[in-house]
Amino acid sequence: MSTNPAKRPINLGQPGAAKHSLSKKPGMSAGRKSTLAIGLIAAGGMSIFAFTPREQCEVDPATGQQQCSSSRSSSSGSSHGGSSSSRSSWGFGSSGSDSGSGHSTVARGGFGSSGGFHFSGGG
Amino acid sequence: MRRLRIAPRPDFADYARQIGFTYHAADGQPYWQDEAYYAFTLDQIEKDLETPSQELAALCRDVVGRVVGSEKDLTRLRIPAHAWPLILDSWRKRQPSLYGRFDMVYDGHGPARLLEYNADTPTSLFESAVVQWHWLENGRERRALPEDADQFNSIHDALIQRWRVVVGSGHVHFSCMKDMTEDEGTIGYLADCAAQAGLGVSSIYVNDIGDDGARFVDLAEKPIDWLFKLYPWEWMLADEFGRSPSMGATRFLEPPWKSILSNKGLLALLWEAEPGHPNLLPAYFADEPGAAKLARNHVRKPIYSREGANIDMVDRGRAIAHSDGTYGAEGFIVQELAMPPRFDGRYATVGSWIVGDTACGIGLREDDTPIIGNMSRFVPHAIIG
Repeated sequence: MSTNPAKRPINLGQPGAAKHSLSKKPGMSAGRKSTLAIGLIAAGGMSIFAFTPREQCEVDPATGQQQCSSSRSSSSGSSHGGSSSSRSSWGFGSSGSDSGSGHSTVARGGFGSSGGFHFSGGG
Repeated sequence: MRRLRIAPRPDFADYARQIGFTYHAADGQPYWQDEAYYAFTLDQIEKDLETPSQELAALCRDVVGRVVGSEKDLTRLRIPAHAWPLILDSWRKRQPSLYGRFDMVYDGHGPARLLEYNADTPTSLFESAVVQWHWLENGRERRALPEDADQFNSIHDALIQRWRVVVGSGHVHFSCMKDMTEDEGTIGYLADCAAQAGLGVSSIYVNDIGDDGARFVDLAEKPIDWLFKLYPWEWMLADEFGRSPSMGATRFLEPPWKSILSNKGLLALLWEAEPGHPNLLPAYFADEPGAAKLARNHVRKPIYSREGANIDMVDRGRAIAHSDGTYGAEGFIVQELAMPPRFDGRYATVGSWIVGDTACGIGLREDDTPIIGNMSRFVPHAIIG
């Protein structure tokens, strides 16, 4: 075990911290817990993965808090915020069918065609 | 480096469900391994994994700087010519990177060797950053691990900080393909980190992205200023929108210059730049003369591929492993064979995470074959002693 704190690169963005103090770092546990908390709020208490496609969150400039909405959780009391609060098309219809006013000149489907041949986009 | 047994958590499935780790098992097989872990010494982590990862990240940036203006090398990498200006522009503007993962072969002795760099669309992120850390905390609490057990893992904190640096303020759209549970989990986690950094976030499937002729828009026709795409650059550039003028109006993560690093041709370019480097394996483009040096001992990899697909391993002239897939049309590279170590009959590979320019954690995956693929299993690690 290295006794030179400067040589300790590991754990939670706090290089130099002594190993025995890791479990007591307030920044560590707070950060981890907030990950879960935000996810749970956004997903209506169901999952960390609030941000499945068609969901959105904005920072409320008044409170600094994330306000999230989705087709699944919009009825759970979460509110819209930020510049996209006036309208949310997330969760209605499928590819492009719900966009704009019905006179949209927006083209869709121009990304994604290559992915159809493969198992996954990640790796 | 040891593989050790540990009592699995009886409530693991509930825990996984609570935090949204929905892909901890796939096709009836556990993806997350809760009954074993890898133990490292601090020296192994610092000297053999962290420092080399840091150095490899720097070498990769050097390669980009050398290659990005070279039509010859961009051609060798099979990057389409229409994308060259976009890539060069992103590099000249120093558009920042978010993250990447080096996959390395390492057995606890001697230098770790780079197998490949997942520089564009790496997954296994949530399990590395959060699930693995929770496992460590839980293991210490229930005394299944030593009280002072540690972990090489600042990924989560680094990601939040990196979002602040890369975007600062604004709104990021997160995108992936439909019906890909793991990919949705990965963008969900990254969006969560971005939200914790104070950014607005939303999500859209890649094929729902719109183009109004001047810029990309979401389903509400709101401009997409920042797009995190878990969708490879080579696919983006091959798709219809990849030639759109709107490509220059959206900031992408990863930035376009990462297409040079997410290409298996990088391995050959690294070896050209640093032959004999202890953390590199000899590698050549398969259609170039150097490849003959590895005729009897090599791994052949498609220039573009994901998830360990279309790999062939040859040991002393004999084919020892092969994986199927849909890649390879653009050509191949060959890399000197370096077998992953076996622990308890399983092959293990280390994934070393880079956030920004900083090495900040590892995750290990195991497989019954020496080819790590989409069905490989994730195993946590701890620093013991």
